[in-house]
Amino acid sequence: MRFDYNTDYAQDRTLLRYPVDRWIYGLLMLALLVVPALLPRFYVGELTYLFIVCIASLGLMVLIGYTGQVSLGHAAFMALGAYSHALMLAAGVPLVVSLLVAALIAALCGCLIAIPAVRTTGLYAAMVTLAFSVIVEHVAGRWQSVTGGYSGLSVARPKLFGLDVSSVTGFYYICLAVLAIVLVALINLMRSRTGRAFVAIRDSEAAAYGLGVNVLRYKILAFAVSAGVCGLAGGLFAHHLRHLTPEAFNLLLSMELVLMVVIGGLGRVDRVSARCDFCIQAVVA
Amino acid sequence: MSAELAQLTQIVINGIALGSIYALVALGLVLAYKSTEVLNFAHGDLLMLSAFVAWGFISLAALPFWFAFLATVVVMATLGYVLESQVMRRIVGQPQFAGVMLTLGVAFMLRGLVSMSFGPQERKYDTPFSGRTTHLGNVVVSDLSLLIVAVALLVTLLLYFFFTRTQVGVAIQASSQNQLAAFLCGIRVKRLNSIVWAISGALAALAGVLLAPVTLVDISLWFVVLKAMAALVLGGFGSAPGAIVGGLLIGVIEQLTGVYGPDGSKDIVAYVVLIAVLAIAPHGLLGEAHGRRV
Repeated sequence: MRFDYNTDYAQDRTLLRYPVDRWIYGLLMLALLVVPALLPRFYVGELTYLFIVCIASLGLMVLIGYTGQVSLGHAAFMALGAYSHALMLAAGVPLVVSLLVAALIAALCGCLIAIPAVRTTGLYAAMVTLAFSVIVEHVAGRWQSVTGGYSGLSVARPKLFGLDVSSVTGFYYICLAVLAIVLVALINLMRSRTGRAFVAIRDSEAAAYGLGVNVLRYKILAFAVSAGVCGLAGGLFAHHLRHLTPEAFNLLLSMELVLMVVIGGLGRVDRVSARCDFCIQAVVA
Repeated sequence: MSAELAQLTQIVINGIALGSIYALVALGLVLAYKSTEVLNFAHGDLLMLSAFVAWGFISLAALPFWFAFLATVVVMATLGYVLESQVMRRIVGQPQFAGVMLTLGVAFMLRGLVSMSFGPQERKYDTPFSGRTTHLGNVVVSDLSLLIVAVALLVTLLLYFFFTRTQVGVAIQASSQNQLAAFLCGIRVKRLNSIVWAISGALAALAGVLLAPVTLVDISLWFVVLKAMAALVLGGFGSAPGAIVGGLLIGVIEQLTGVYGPDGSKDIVAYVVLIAVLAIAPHGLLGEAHGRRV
């Protein structure tokens, strides 16, 4: 058992404080890099799916684990990201731009949905996001001219800088890279002023308000960040599915995300990715 | 009566019949919420389960409708009682999120249980009222709708008298206002909470048994709970009369958009109302002032 003994704030903020951490994360990264060469294709594909869900649950973690707001409809943000990504790819937008814009669209919708969601207590957020999720699923099913309805929308093969990366291994590395970027970005966000404001809101809204945190603004910001990350995951998920249907983004996916976040441990960004998804995946697959 | 007016009346009556179901479901939710501060996400699955139980009594055990009806209500009330006393009581004092997760967990288990034991195919059962209609002037109303409205009305009145005139009912009101004070007055708060959940379960059963002949006995019946939540928010969260008014309104709004609104809007209008009400007037129609209940 190791105890954290801090003598200044810089120690509290360091990412990898002990040599053993550096070794563990370095080895993990190395292992993930060589995995496609060792494992059969099927498992590489499954791992890719796992990374995508990891990204989405990281997004949800910002909201549930750090800001203490319940969302039961994050699959809707994934759906928004997935559909806008697929449509933009079809219109000839490059992959990186399209992914980022998809995340942005999802984040904007997150902002909009946050306004009714954060008005009062946590139960309202749960109900609003649940309702939003149902609405998105219905619209995706009904708006046939754009989304292809229940018959689906096929997704273009991923191309990165003119290079075809649609092979299982190529896509694996893309997802791994995005996961790593999101993970580092979120960890950094959480040790910033904004992250501390999120945690303050989770622990006590009244106290945070008293300390000068603009509670409403940070809650909406948390919704936006988390929806944006989920939109990003949705964009990648579109490639994994290859064929988008509204059923892929039903309430069950939202609930699975919530379960992953809760089982992984609320408020532990590093654990959610490493531990819980493997468990869930093992059970599901 | 002109044809258009007749059509409008027809739609509103259908809406009221559907809304009565939503009102019953919303009432079950709000009672459980007021007594235990838990929004029961498994309520819709209790409703769905009760439809299957009723189907079992009617089709497998060949019981007469009314007997099966009562038996289902008793079974579901018992289930509600057990759910509170054995499961929900363990998370008293935990943050709200725990209640959400726990009821969702129960919901998924019930859904899984039903789909494992009954399979995915849809079923139906007949009531003595199925397929019959009554003419009121130009308006044709199915007897089933009349039955639904009648039962909802009767149950609401019964509950009203129960909560205002009987000792147990008043005690329940007291404990939902202030558990500690009620406990100090010698009220057995724990048992009352279980009783409230039993009532809530019975309401779910009533709604389920009445709704299933209109739609089908199917797992997707649990979706009603989402519409009941819209009703709750519209009527004002935490208010029993609000739940009833909200339920009726949502039913009527849904039927009206089904006829006059664009194609497909009927399915989502309840949720749009939910979000709009929270964005514009989060207190709803009859809601109490929001504040942190400690």
